Amino acid sequence: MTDPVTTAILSRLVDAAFTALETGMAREDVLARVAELEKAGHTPDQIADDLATMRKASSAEARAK
Amino acid sequence: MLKRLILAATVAVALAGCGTVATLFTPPGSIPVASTLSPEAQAVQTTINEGNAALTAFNNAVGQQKVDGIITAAKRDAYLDKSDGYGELLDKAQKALRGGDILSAKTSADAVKKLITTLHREAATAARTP
Repeated sequence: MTDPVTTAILSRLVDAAFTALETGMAREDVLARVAELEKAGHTPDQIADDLATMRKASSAEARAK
Repeated sequence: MLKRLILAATVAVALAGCGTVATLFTPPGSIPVASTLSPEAQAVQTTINEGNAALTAFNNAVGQQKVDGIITAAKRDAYLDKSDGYGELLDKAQKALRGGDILSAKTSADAVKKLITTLHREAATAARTP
């Protein structure tokens, strides 16, 4: 048996874990995209601009969810 | 059931406490920077790149948290407003670096790096708070 308060606290802890995991996985996705751009011939300067563009796009996409 | 929840929570705390913040700006050098830049400028460019990558990851994670029902739309927007503000500071740092003002770029980029780390901690803490 688990009381409602304990369940709520544990649920929040699990949410926090997913928060950490999601951020970590999202970062891996960004790095994978950078590797693709590098392979496609983008220069380091272009990749710096690409990262800024990705950042702006990700904000707009997150707001639309 | 309780044992499984406790195990999940233990793993959760370990991951939330160590994983996110530790990997925000590591490993350095995984995003290429121009070798023609001075070592100081390369370091600043790395900080800017890692900052943009961290904010992108943060935005994606925050969007997913809204979808999962962990945070409200208002909270998501508040996080994204902060993220956008920090992003603008990174853009200014980038402009300063390309203009040759390495010191100004470094000061801004370092400040934003700390702010982003704080933002990630804030989001993780909020997720833990009942």
